[in-house]
Amino acid sequence: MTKAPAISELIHHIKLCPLEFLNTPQKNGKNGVNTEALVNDIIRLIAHEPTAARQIEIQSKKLSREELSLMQICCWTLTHPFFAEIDHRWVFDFFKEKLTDIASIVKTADWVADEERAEELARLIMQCCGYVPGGETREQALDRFDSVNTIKRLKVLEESKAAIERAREIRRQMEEKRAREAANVYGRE
Amino acid sequence: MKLKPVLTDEERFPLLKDQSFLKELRQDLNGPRFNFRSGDRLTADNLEKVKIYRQELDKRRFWTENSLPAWIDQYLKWCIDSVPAYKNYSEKLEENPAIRRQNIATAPWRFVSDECDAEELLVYSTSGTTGAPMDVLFDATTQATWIPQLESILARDGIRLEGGPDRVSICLVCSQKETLTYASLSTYLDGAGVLKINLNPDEWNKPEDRSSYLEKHNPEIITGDPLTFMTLAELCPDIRPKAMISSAMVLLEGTRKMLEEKFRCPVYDLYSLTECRMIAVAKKPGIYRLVRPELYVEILHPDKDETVKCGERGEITLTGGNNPFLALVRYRTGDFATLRHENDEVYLCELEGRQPTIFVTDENRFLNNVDVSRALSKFSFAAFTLHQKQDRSIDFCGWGKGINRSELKQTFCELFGPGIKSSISIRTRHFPETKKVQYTSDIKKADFIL
Repeated sequence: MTKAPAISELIHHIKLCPLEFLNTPQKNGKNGVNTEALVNDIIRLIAHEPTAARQIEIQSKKLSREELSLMQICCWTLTHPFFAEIDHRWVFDFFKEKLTDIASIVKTADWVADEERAEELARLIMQCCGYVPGGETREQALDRFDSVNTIKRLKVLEESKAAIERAREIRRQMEEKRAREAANVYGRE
Repeated sequence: MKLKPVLTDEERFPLLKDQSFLKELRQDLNGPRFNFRSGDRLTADNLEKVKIYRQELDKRRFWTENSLPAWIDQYLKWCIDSVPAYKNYSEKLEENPAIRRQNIATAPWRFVSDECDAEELLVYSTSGTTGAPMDVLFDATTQATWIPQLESILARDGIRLEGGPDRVSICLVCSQKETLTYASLSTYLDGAGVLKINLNPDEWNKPEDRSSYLEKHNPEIITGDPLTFMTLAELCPDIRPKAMISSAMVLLEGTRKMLEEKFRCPVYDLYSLTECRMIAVAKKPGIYRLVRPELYVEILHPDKDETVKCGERGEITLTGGNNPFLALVRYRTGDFATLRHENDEVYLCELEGRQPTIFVTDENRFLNNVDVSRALSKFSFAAFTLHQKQDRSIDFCGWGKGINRSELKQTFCELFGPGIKSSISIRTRHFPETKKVQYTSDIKKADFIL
């Protein structure tokens, strides 16, 4: 089985992302990177099919600029030699489904400039391709992904905000009811 | 804190249109000067839930030795999903840590299920007779299920609560310097009367009214604590209750026999806690039969959260119950006993509950320790012990800072009367390791009745 790179190696690779991949995506007829063409080129590269026809349709009109930009950064990430050694079919779902939510909550520049976001992207990609980063067990990989997972973190924050709000409401009710009549008592405790 | 009656009678009894009996109970010429108002607040939905609870009490069976109740997996899952305090708990009961009174007292809102409507919560503040004061949260439905629990206990002995308008079904009798008293109704019992009265003669127009009022309404069931029942026995009203339910402290066998002879009815000793209401009932000394199949009881080792072997002594620990405003998972009660299974029933044996402590005033009147707890709650003691000697003098030792000693002395003078000598010691270090509040007395029942 192909040996997966260590997460640090992938992070390093992401942070070296060339400017060309970071340029503004083409959208609504304006100049910029043609994300669909770039994604398909990368698929041809890792599938070892340089002359294949377009394999994935990216409707840039319907997608946000942030998602298109993230796709471009992912294209760079996939130029790491490891991805050309494994079965490439996972990328179709990856580009179609896995980037929409996360792209909307992380600033594009952070994916390459911020160490933790670069790690999050590296771990997301490794999870989607079904490999465990080199030197880690499956549990460690899951655990470490959880610790940098923005969606999960926001969910936890949202939950704790809701929990705090709920506790406040109960305490407010307690304050109000403590001095008021409650309901019949039938026996001593 | 002075409680305020704030509801209208329509809000107290949303389903009872005819409240003429309530007025009769309140306006009775021989009645006490009721100082409060209360209702069961049951709506049609609530009432339906109480009735379903009654049916389930009959249907459910107790768990067998070395097994868990069938409902426990579902209950734990519900707790993990909806009760903040148990969010990180395991679905296996035995893997979870036990909780104590202190955990609930510090943050009662963490034990409320997310499914509960906060608007419906009610608060009962315990006086802290056996520990630190605590707010217990509940709702009208949970509170009303006390009656089905009682019914299921009585039904085993062929006793039936008849209820119905124009009769008093339950009378909670107190004997304290001060307590809330009211006349009320029970929607579940079809509008039957429910009374909470205080035998303290100061609360009645004439002392003899206490007997007259009780005799006139002849309640189906009398509830109270053993000390109050002793006062009631002295008063000896000509009433014929179907049963007497004693709780709050252990009912000694001599007292039970005396009450059974005087009132010619069975006297049940109920083991119950404010945190979950009824747990077990005894008709003979020391053997308490569990009464609620939906409240799982395990006996835990005092120092580690593991069950002891069946038959070994340990701390009574509770899981389940029917109060979504106080969900319990491995709640250590602070009481110790052994557990025994016999003929599909579960028994608590060698239960060491709260022993009745007899305090008397300089006029030789009973003083309920609830009155003492209440009076001392205005001082910020972390713990205290109070002992009354044979010569009636009292020894008090309290742990706390900033206590006004002369105010404390005055409080004891008001409680026990000016003729009782008191010795007071205030400490700021070396807290007692056992109970935070401890009452003891050298005065025996026999000394007092003379």
